[in-house]
Amino acid sequence: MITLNWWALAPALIPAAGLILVLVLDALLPGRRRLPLAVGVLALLGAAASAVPGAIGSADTPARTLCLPASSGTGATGGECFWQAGPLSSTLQLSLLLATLAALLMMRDTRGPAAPEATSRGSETAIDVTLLLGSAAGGVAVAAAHDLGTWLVALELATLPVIALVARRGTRRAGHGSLSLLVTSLLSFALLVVGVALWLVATGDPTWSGAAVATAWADPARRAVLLVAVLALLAGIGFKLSAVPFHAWTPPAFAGAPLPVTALLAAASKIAAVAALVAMLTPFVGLAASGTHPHVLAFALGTLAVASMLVGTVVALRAGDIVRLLAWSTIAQGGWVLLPLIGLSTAGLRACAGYVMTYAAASLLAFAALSAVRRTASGEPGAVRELAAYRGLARSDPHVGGPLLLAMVTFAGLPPGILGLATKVVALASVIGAGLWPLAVVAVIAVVLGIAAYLRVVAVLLADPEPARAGRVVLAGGGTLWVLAAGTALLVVAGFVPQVLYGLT
Amino acid sequence: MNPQVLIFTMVFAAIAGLLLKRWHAAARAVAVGTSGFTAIAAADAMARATDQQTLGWLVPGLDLGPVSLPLDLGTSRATAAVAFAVALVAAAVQVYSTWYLRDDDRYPTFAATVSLFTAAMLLLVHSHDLVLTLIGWEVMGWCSYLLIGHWSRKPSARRAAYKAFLVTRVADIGFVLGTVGLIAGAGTSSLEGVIAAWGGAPTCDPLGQCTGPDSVLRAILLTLLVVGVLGKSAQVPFQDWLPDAMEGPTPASALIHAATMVAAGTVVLAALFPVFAQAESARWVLGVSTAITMLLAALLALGQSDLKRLLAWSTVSQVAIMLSALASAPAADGPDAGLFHLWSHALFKSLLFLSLGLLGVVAGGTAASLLRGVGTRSRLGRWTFLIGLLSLAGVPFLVGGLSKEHVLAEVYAGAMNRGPGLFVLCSLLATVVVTAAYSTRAFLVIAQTANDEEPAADAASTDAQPNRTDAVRRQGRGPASAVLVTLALLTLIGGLVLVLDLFTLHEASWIWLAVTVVLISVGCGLAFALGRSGDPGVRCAGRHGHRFDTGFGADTAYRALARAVVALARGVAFLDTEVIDGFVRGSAVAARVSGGRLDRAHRAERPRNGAWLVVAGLLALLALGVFAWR
Amino acid sequence: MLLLAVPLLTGTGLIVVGRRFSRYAAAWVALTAAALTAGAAGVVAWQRPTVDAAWLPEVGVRLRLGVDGISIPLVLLTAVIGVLVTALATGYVPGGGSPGTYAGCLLLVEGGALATFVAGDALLFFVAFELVLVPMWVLITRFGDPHDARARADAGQRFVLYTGAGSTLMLAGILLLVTWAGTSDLSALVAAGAGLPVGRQLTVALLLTVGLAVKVPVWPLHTWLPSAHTAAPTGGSVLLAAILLKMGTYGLIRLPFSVVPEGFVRISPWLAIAGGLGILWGSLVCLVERDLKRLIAYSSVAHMGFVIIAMASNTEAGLQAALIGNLAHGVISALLFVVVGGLKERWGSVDLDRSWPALREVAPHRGFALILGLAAALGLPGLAGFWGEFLAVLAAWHPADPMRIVVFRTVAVLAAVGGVLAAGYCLRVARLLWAGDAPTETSAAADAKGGARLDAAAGAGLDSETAAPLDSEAGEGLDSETVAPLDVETRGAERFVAGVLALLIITLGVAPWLVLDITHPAVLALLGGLP
Repeated sequence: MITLNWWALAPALIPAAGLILVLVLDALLPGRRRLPLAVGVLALLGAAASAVPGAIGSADTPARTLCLPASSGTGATGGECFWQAGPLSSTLQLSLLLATLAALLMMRDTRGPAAPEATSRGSETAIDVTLLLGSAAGGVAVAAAHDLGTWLVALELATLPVIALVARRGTRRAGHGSLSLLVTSLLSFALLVVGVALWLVATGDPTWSGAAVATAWADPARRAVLLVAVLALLAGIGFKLSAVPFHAWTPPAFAGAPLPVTALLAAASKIAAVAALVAMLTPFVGLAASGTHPHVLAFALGTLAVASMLVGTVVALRAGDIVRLLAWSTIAQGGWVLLPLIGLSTAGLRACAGYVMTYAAASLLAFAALSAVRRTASGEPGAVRELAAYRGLARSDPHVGGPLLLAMVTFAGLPPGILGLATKVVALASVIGAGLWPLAVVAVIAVVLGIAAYLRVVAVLLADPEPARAGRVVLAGGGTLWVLAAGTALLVVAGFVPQVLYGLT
Repeated sequence: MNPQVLIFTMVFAAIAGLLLKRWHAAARAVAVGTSGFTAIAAADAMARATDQQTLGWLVPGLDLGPVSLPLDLGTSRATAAVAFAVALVAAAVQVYSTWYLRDDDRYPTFAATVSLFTAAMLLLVHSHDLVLTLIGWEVMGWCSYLLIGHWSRKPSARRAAYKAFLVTRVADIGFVLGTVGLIAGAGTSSLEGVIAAWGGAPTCDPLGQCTGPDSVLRAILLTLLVVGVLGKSAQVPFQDWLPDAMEGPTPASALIHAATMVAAGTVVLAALFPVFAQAESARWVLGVSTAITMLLAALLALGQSDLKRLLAWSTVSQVAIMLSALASAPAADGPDAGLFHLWSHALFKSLLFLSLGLLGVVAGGTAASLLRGVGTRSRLGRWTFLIGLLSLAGVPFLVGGLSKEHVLAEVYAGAMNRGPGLFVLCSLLATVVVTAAYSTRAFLVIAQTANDEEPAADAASTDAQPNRTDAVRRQGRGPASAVLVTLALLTLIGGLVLVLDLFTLHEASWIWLAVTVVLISVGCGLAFALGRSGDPGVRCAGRHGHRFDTGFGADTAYRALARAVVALARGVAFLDTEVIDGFVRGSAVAARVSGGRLDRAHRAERPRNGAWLVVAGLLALLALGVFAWR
Repeated sequence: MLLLAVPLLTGTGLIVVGRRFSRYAAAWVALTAAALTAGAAGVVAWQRPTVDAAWLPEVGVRLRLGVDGISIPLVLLTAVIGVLVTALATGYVPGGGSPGTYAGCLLLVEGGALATFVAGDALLFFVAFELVLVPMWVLITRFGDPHDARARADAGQRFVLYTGAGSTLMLAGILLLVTWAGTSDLSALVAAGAGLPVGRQLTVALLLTVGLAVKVPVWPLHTWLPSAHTAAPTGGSVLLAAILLKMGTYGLIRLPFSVVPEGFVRISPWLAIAGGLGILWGSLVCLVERDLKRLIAYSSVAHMGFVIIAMASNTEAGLQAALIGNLAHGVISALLFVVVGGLKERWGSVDLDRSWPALREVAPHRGFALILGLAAALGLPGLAGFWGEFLAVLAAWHPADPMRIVVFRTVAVLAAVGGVLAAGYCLRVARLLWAGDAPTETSAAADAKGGARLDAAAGAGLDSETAAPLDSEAGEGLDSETVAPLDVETRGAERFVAGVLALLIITLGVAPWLVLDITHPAVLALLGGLP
């Protein structure tokens, strides 16, 4: 008999419920645009609220549910639980939900106030919201899933709707982007399945249990299988994180998708991927703590991290299209997210979570700002792609250019983007703490290149606006303004008191 | 009267002078008043001079752990005397310049600089602390830069100032390092401490364990110190800056030459004499250099076409004589012979410069050809100049004569025991002759009436006063004349200072008196013989006159050195921009290029090419796994 | 602490809302803020309060602020300089952005520097260290030399990247240290760091020293400085020279010197050699450099070389020399940059190969400030420069570790030679800019050309470096360029600033113990940590 704790499941259930509700409503009274949006917003807010208690809870008593009866189980808690939401994963859920919310708000605006109230429009909105909620539910589930099956399904649930969202715009670029996204995610799905299977073979345990891993590790033959499994999983997640060399899909997908979806890809999907990674690595953390350090795993993580940091930054140095630039910076930041994990320590996990959340906030800010810049008042939002067109944005329209600037310096890890700096420091600290300080030297190079890349944008933003002003018009809808304001406030406040960020995890 | 008062008065004068830039009259009053007061105070101090004593100082000392800088002052009989000479000359110069620079638009700055200069010299004289000595030393160098470059509208003056400062500064490498070494070795910068630490001879026990100062290091340090002294005192090989320094206004030259900067080296070495006497090699360096300098400079003086430059070279020669006394005096006797010569030289050299300034103003320049027969036009100038020259030549019982005889006696005593004494002695005797000769020449130049076969072609005068009307010349000339008279009197009777028994000296023996008389008469005879018709200097210099004027081309040597340095500098600048910075630029370029490459590689994004990457990465990871298998 | 809050908040405020401020409004707001800060600095220096609050528990960082004898002089210097640069802004604000932004950036830099000096925690120190980068970068790239945009961008990028690299290396060192020593509290680190095994100390010291050496800058990591100085506006140059470089030396004293003494002793000979080379290198370049601002920048490299030597000697005298030399260079270079920056604003260029009207004639006050600054720069006693340099040589003559005495004495000789070169280039500048004749407005070009000739003729001697190019280039330069305006006298704010700095220079030179007595106890405390 499986125990069931609705509260613990709420963060995942509420979006799902919202999803159904939206579909029903759209069927009953079609053509309403605001309704599905409202439902979506409420659902996400509710889910976020329900995730808060878990986030501020203490680490040693995670919210557990879906537990098997104690008889077959191991460990003091009574049984294997398929759903474990410690503060770390709850925080990830929280941030993921908020990120999705931000994307939703942006989406509301980008449907342009000038849009005719056609039924098609309405249902389109409904579909968008549905997909968003779907991916949100999936992401939340990934963060808490403790057994392989749920994990796998949830991860795909988090990914596939996004592909649809990218594709729905129907332009050629969108098709191109969604296609590459689809191909790669299929590949990654294949890898994940293989990985999960091998894991099952190696450990004989359908959950991410530390004990099973430890026993498997002890036996050389099973250890090899386990390693291959882990590496396959790593590769699979590498796609979601768009870590080099699994990054190729990122630039076209970013460039092809409408900006809100890009924001979703950049923020929510990343968080989901990190959540998955955390779930997978947790047992190994225990392993490393117990003295047998899985060096191969660390090495693989290291190569991914270093390659992503360097390649991403170097290309971002040259990109002329700002969205592609952000895409490459996403790749680089993916490397930074992986960096603290190399140490395979709890501190590393938390550092990673902290970093990814900061990064998500900053990139949401950036994309929100981009989506506010248009060619003409009625023109397609976010169509202004070339960097030069943003000349002097921070001086002509500080309410949009300022947040963009803040996001850039946060990426670069320079004050006033103190939060970016702090998270970088913490990430490096956990690496060096693990005695891997040669990696820090690579990080130095990455930091310098990063500063160069992002200050390039800042320089453009601060330049004399006059020449470029004609080519653009800035109008930010209510939702976008909300995102901008909230994001800026978050970054600034958390910059002065970074402890809240880590206090949560 | 304790030295702080003297020093602070002059410093105050300097500041006030700078603040009173606008009001010349006020500046004049301040300058004259303060310097006069200082002179009187110094005279009083000299009259009531006591034995060696160290005084605290308003400023607290600096304690740097292993090294302490007490920054004390001190006095002794000799320093009191020298201080008086300094203050006197300063006062004379200040009074004199109120007339000489009456219509100079930058007179207040000039007066202020002179005051600062004097303050620095007084500080150096009274310093019982090597750091204070260094401070006075450097500040004087800077003031000399300002004074020589006073007429900075003249390129030649600019260059002269630049040259003077750089040459002395180069020599100061030695001075600074020597000072630093001594201080570091002694652990304190106080004079007593340094002498105590470095004075004695090292004592070695049979095992070869030596205690006491390291004699080799001491020799090195003092040689370095001597190098610095040679620079400031314009001795070979640094001699050439001084004649060019004649670009400055004549009062400034009087100050620099008579009492302050050039003579400073003597004071410093005299203060350090107990240590200096121990360092044979340093004494040799000094002895050889001075021996060469005194003769060379005297010869150059003989051939100068410009009397002001003649005086400059004579200064070089005379300073060489002072230093030679220090170089060769026996350790027992002490440095006072040199100091006495410094004292007397201060008197007669200032007299010479100031009276020459007067003559120059009358004649409109100081070139020999211009001055020809000017003595007939200004009798005051003629007589004061004559007295100065006699004293310079070392005629007995004039102050110059007395001091020179004491130097001779000292050097002779030194020559009797080991050391550079003998060498110095020969050169000294020769110098006496030449000195007499050029003194006579100088007098002949101003005394003889112009006869026509002298072409007054080259009126190239160093002291190019804006030619002023007679009215201006007369105006306010009284004080200047008074100064000249006073100095002349002092030069005549200055020898009486020995009564005060400020200097510990042997009494001059009659033999030396006789010898000098003979030598001097020889020199004068020579000059007269040459100068029967026209300027003896021109006669003996002959066609090589310009060689004399360019100091036998020492300047070209300096230029060569400077060129070498500049070439080196160019090389370094090239390295800096091309090599060191090249790495920086290179890295930037590398990053940009690789970025471009990768970007282009991703331009043609087709799912396929993404897939390839995936496969590659996958293989890599699996290979890793397999590698883990074994 | 009010000390930090005032400049940082005002600065941010000015940047955010100040874009519609007029020049006067912005500048005066900034000036009041700076004045308040200065007052706060005075109070802080007097009462030495401390702040301690949790900040980043993840890596055990606490918001620890406090001052001691080593930081107090620098805090005061920073506060004074802050007032002066903002005062300058009341007189003149370079174009390129809103005055609000300009003044705001000035204040941000000041605040960051202050934060660096009062930080009581290694990582906090790092964060504060980074704080100044972006504002300074903005100052250089936005408000810098209006004549050459590319040079501006290049200089700014070079500055931010170079120093960014340095500080990240330093971060690596700090994190390593914190991990090994188990605390990031600077006062606790002194004990904990000294306890580390020598090998680890060496590693940490190496990382920290290299990282900080970029900021100082130590030869051969100095190439960012000249371009930055040349491009930066006057206020920026002043801040850069007077404050930012001090952050480097301060960091060196705070971190490697005091925390990992044994490691630092191991590398100090190399540091000293780099310093000595820097002195010669910088001075030699100054002998032939054409652009006056670059020249002063290189002279900064040379002066910092003295500071480095003194520090590397590991003795009490050395540390004192480093501290006072630091301060002295701060005020001296500030004065020089005020004077020269003003000239550049009026003349458009300060190319020494053109012939300019002699300041002594056309602008006595500016001329006096210039000559005073130069005299101080060549280490004239009675002015600020002397003590730092003399004591540095003295300290290098007998360093703490007797094994390396030969190295250090060689370096001392190098330093002394450098002193002469300093005289050479300072007087070269004086001769080309200060002394000389004043061309009349009408016949300026002809006169200038003639003057050039004269100078060339005169310069045929010791400084043939001017003579050679002058004849040819002065001619062309004058044909192409317009005649320099004669009215370059300092006015209002500028004169006030120059006066204050001159006063500071003289005070420091005449009364060094004012500083040394403050630093003395702290220095003794530090050296207690030495073996």
